[in-house]
Amino acid sequence: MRKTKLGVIRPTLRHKKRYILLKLINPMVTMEQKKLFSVFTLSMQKANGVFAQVDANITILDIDSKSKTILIRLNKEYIDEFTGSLFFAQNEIGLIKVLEIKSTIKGI
Amino acid sequence: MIDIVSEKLLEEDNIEKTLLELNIDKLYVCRTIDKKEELSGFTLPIFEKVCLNKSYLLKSPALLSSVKEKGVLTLIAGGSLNANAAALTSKADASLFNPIGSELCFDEGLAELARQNKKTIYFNVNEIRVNQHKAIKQMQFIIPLLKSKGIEMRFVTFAKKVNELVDQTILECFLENFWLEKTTSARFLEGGSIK
Repeated sequence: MRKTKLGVIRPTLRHKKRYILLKLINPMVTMEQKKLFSVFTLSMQKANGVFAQVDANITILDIDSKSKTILIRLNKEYIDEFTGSLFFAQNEIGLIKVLEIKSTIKGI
Repeated sequence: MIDIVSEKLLEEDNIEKTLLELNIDKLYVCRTIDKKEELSGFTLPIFEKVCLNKSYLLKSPALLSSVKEKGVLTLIAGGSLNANAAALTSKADASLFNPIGSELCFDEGLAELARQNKKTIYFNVNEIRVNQHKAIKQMQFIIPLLKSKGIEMRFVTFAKKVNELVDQTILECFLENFWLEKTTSARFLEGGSIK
């Protein structure tokens, strides 16, 4: 089979990302990536629908169980929707505080 | 950020630390009053960095005359057409708390009354967690109506447990679902007035 090279996505077509740092003040669940991801996606889906949830492309980059912080990357256009949906996520994972929202990972 | 919480919240461990983590520096601690005897014996603990203030949530507007203390935030529980109307027409310095009922009990006439009497309307955001469908549906009607009339609104948690508190950033973004811009909701959460 002939190998074809995947073309690089043009910068104008790429989703712009935002990085959001959350802190769990009173965690009710273990800091497992799988569990947290399912809570975040379900709360996003509950608040904004399945299409917004898929398009937001929520990715958990880092979990620090010592400081109880979670670093998440998502599509820039859905940052407010995601932050608002954390209101519902609190029911399952406990009190959440938004520490920072930055456009680069270096800023956090 | 200013918030109103139930007096039960103060029984939780390390509550001052949690409040400071959420940048809450001014807090109204509310006692629910069913009978006038419950007005006595309400004292607040002293916190180092959080300013605590007293607040009463009256279950009936008839209890208003029993509140003699000055500098206390007095709220009248809404939830029915009569209670909402009584709270908005009262001459006393009392505000309407949570006008959400089992069915819609707020209309343009009541909004006009609130505007004329310069009343502030307090919403319990945790109602959305407890009574989701009705609360969202009614708030989606009431909030834009109050906004169009330039009426003061406050969004409070009335938290009984730590997990019922909400971070200001989350609440600002969440209130966008009710057609409130971030700047407007931030002003409401800080206790400012509409310009």
